[in-house]
Parts: sequence; C-alpha cells; structure tokens
Amino acid sequence: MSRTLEYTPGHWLALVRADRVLIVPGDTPPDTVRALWQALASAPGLEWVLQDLLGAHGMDLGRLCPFGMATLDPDPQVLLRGPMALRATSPAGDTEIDGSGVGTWTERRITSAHSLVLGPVPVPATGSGIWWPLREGIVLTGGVRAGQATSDAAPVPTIKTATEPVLAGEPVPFPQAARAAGDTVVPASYETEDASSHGLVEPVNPMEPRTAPDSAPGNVAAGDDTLLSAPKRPLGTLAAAAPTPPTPAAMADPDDLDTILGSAVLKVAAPAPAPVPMPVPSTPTPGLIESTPWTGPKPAAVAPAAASAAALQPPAALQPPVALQPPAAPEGDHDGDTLLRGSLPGRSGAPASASSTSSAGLDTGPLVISRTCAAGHANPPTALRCSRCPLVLEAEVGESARPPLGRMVLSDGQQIELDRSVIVGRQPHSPRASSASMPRMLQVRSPSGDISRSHVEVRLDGWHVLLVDLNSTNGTRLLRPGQAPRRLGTGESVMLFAGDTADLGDGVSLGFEDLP
Amino acid sequence: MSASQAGGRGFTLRHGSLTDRGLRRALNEDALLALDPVFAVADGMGGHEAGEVASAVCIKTLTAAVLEARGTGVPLDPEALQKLMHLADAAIRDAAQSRAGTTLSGAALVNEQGVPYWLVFNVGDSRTYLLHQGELSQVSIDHSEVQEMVEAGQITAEQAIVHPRRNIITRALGTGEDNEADFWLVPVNSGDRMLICSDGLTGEVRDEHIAEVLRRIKDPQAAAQELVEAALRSGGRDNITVVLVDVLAAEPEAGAEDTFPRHLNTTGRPRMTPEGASA
Repeated sequence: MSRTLEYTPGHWLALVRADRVLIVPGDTPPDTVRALWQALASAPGLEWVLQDLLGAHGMDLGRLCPFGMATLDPDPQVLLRGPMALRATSPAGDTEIDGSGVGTWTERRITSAHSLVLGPVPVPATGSGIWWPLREGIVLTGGVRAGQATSDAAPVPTIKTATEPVLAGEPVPFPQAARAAGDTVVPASYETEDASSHGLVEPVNPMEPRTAPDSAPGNVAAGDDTLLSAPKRPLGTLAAAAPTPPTPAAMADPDDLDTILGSAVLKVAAPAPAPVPMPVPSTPTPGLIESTPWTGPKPAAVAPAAASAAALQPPAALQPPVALQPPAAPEGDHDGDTLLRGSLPGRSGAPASASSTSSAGLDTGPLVISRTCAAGHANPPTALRCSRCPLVLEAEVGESARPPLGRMVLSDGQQIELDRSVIVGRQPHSPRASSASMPRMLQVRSPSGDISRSHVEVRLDGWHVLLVDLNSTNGTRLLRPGQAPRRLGTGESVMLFAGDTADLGDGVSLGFEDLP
Repeated sequence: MSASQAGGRGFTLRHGSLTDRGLRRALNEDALLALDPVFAVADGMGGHEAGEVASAVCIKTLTAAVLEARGTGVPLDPEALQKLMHLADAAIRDAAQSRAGTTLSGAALVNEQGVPYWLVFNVGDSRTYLLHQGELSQVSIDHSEVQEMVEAGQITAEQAIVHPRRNIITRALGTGEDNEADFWLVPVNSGDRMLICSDGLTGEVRDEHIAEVLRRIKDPQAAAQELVEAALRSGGRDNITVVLVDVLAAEPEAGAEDTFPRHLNTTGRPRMTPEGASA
C-alpha cells in the first residue's frame, strides 16, 4: 500500500523516499540534503532522520531549521518545527497541526488519515494551484499532499524516481521519460543561499569545520588558548620558566616552548594576524596562554581498577601522528605518554579522584576492606558470620564492593536503602562529588521552617554510617534506646547504630535499621 | 517507594543560547547543547580543526543520548552522565587522534528521590552558574591551575582572574586522561536562571557584570545576546558561548500531550554581527 503523492512548486525542498516526506528550507546545504536523503531510506524511524538534521546544525536545537516530516503509512507520524504545518483528513474530522511557536518541535501521530498536506504555513489548498504527481525524489515545493492509501497496482502518472538526490546548485536531473512526457516543470537549478554572505556571523557548524583564513603551511593554527596541564604540578616549575611580558615573536618560537614544557606538541596559536584595534581590558596581555603547547597529566600508578581503565582508554599520546606508537603494556612506562604528559619533573602522579565503581554483583558501593563468605557476600572485616546467609566468613580479608548498609525509615514511612550517603533537608544541595560518590538528596517538609535547607547528612564511611550535622540552624537530636536524647553540635558527626533515630524537628525523624 | 515518574513538572523551562567566534579567533571551537532536559557548553582545544571536532563530537554524543533517554524514558543520573562523558572521551580521541580535547559544563534536569533537581556537571573550565533570587553563584568549580592555586591559598580569586596561567586546565575530555567529571545537585526553583558559558565570557566579563545583565534582561535569548556583546566589547579574544535556562512557574496546561516541552524562543533569533572582525 502506498499513497498517491503530488506536490505544488515552491521554494522549499521536499525529499520523498521510502514512504517518508521531509521538507526543509530551500537553502539547505547539498551535503546535508544528501545525508538526509540517505537517512530517509535507512533510518529506522523519523527520530533518526531528525537526529541527522540536528547533527547538520551542530546539535544545536536553537539553530535547527524549520522542517516538516511525515510518514505515509495509514497512521502517519508527523514532526513539525517552525512555520510548517500539516492538514489531515481523517474519520475524526480535519486537523491542522502547526509547528510554530514551539522551541523544539511538535510531534503527533494521526490515526487513519485519509489524506494529508504537508507544507509551509499557510498550507496550500488542494483545490487551487498546480499539483504535479510525484513518487520519490527531491523537488522544490510549496507543499506535498498525499492521498488515500491505495494499492500500488493502480498506476498514477508519476515522475519516476530519481535515485540520487538533487543537490543545490546542480541542474535538477529529470528522468528523460518524464521530461519527454512534459508532465512537469521544475526550475532547472537554484541558488544556495549562504548565510555568511549576508554579513551574519557564520553559524557554528561543528560538522563542517571552517578553514582558518590563514592556513598556509608553517602557520600556526588559530589561537588556541586553553591548555591542559598536569594536576598538582609544583607551581615553581613552570612559573619560573614562563616568559614574562610575552611578545608575539617570543611566543612564536616553538623550540623555547618545547624546552619549557618538554613536549613537542601542537604548535599552536600565534596571535591572529593583524588583530583589530579594540578596547584593551584591564588585564595584562596573556602570557604563555596564547601559545603554549598543551601538556596533559599522567596518572602514574593509579588504583587497582587501572587495568580496566587502561583497557577502556588506551594510552593517548599528544604528539605528531607520525610518531604514534602502539599502546605500551599497562604496567610499563611508555614514551608515548612522555611527550604528552610525563615530561615535567617533580609532578605528582595520581589524579584527585580515582573513582572505583564495582562492575559485577549486586553490591554497587565503593570498594571497602571486607571479609566475604563462600557465597560472595561482603561483610565488615570484624564480622565472624555472614550477615546475609548462614555461612561462616573466610579468614582472608580483601577488597570488595560494599553492600547497602541498612535502611533509613522516615517518619512518613518512606524507606531509603543506604547504598549511598543521603543529604536531608528542606531543599538540600550537594557539595562537589564524583559520579560514584554523589549522595542522594532527600527533601522533607518543614512547614514551620525549623529544618535547614541542607540539614543533616547520613554519610556512609567504610562500613560505618555517620550522622553529620551540616551546620543546621536548629540542630538534630539523636535518640538512642536506653540513653538520654542528645543534641548534635554544629558540624558534629556521630556513628549510628541500628535502632537509632534522628529527630530533625517539625515532626521529621529518621530511623535506622539493619545497620552493620 | 520514592522516585515518582515526574509527569507534569510543575514548571516550564525556557532557554536562550548564542555562540560567537569572537574577534580574534579564526574558528569557533565552542559547541553547545540546548535540548531539554540537558543544557551544555563544550569548549574545544587543539590545533587546526581538532578543537572544533572535539567539542562537536562531545555534543553530538550527548545529544544522541538525550534523544535516546527521551525515547526510553530512562532518566539520566550522575553515573549515566559520567559514562556518557567516557563515551565522548573515546569518540573524541577516535576522531582527533588525541590531538584535541574539550571542556564540558552544563546542567541536566533529573529526578532525585521524586523531586526535580539540576544535575550540574563539569570537566575543565567552562562554567555553570545559578541565579537564585537575584544572587549569582558559580556552581561548577574549574579544573584549572589557578583554581588549584586559589584552593591552596596561594593566590586570591581576584589574582586568578588575571593570572598568566589562568588558561591552563587540569582536566578535559578527549585526552584519555583526567576526564572525570565533578557533579553537583542543585534544587530547581521557579524564577531561577542557569547560566552555562565558555571561558570566552568569563575571561572577558566580570561576574558582577554578568549578574547585572541576568537580573536586568528577562528574555533569555536577549540576555544571552547581551552577554556575548559584552564579551565582544571587552576584547572578544576567545570564542564566546552562552546558554541560559529559565525555570518558570507552570502555565496552565495547554493540552500539549503529544508536544515536546515548550520553550518559546529560538526560531529566527538574531545573529551577531561582529563589526571589525578581522575577516
């Protein structure tokens, strides 16, 4: 089954292929059109076509062009953006969907549509104007209409398929048969409008890198300020060597820089040729910044997880491609990295955060010293029997992923498994954290405002659960069976045991169960 | 238990964004993503087109994941984002043979124990700020040498702004090393405004001036444009990229069942014309 198709001439580009219609602006670059033409045939769904279209706009939704796309099946799926609309006739009546006024795009599925017209607003009326038959191909159009689904056996005079896309700036190829039959008239070619020729800022299109105006060999690449350095490098090392008030000439000498940073990398960034006069800000002329090669850090000996990390990220060397070497064995030192990162004396190796996420098993916590049972359950090193099964623990103590450390039960009945730290408050926010150490945020109601925004943290530390006051205004009371209630001082932390309750005020309390 | 699938959010997002090559650079190596629920800025570095490739590949990786997450309804969390960044890291090294890298900073709207939160993420020295009740605060913390010096008490924040080594960053995506992101969870409040920008803005425009613009200009696109213009006026030595996201109190439901979240900007927005660019 397919629908009979017709189009009315206009200035938009309609791509019709594989029972899909896509309409984009007439000035869409040829490469983009070609990619979309392929996508229409190969994409599993319109979303994929959309993604290619987004990709052509640097994945920037704000820059995405207006478009309309629809499938031609009995229940057409429709995606519209900008001044593009679809009018459909279905048993439920006529509907018109408009993409205007939506920052992203409008998506809809129409059940059993008899016929539809897709085109720029206002959608052309089917009863007027010229309508040419169409089966597949790329046409300049003001709208495409699809009739009721019919059997392919019923022949309609159509333009035969052009198998390759018609591209901007090229003559529009038409099958000889169609041309001879004289059943259509289409402009032979059209101009591509280039936004940049209008004095606009060229849109960033990362997929089509612009060439630097001055790209003669020997010239350095466009100013590339940002440099990657080793973490925790002693400041003296480079600061002493840094050229003081730098001049373009001084900075252009790559040998100096190589000596300074010990790396033969990216000869970057002479200042742009003939900089325009402009207001000079109150900052000194940038020094090294404008021209230093970029050196990277090298974690020397990292965590036990280094092997898997290395597998995921083979040693990457910042050096001329010619000099690329096969990755060295993870345990050895290798020259490839030396050029990039290992060249600075006296640097400390390990990066600040060595995240350790466990890979297998149910336990998802960080690695902790533990004693495991024969079934693999991790327990505190001091435990004698497994807390989760009747097995006796092995004598050996090792590292394994930490299981949840019990439960926290709120006064409203909500239960939270303690597999991560939790920050509790009226509107808590987290401190800086890695993905593995990010605590949960638990908001609790505080009608009278007794509870601070970030009030208290239930912190998991090794096999311990701590209650940490976060400088709350009204404090937290710890209720422990058999003991007098006790108020935590500002910033104080205490170790929690099963059966403890923390009272935050305003009727909110946290009970702790099954702690190790 | 917890984690209700947030159907109606109770607020809407409205965003504006702009990127500009600046006045000195031949290329724009910045890239941005403004695709609800993720907003991000990547600032590429590396010779020739490598930086451009790095930031573009990074944003493309993120975008694909955002679209997929929207399709499957699986929410993003720090671990998912960290995995994504590792993916982007590998993709950049693949595309640029480790000659390039990129920063990445941004914010993703996530569901935290049933409550909407901004998950702010950062690698490098692009920044994410929060304007809350008129007060601007920097949420992300740079991975840069000067930041380390500030934290070590060796220089003041004021000195960091003009320090000659202020552009040396300590982490990036695409270099294969030191690519771990930092994360923050920040509550979502109506009236709040998130600013995500490359150092082409913060290197040219002081925080007080940024805050003044963000308080004064309500429309996010117009505010983004004003910030970019301010950076150009004070030199525009680097690429400048600004993404602004406003959290607005929910409007009455407009029967938008099958429409993606509504923001009212972007189409046909104005473009900058940097007069005097050395073109």
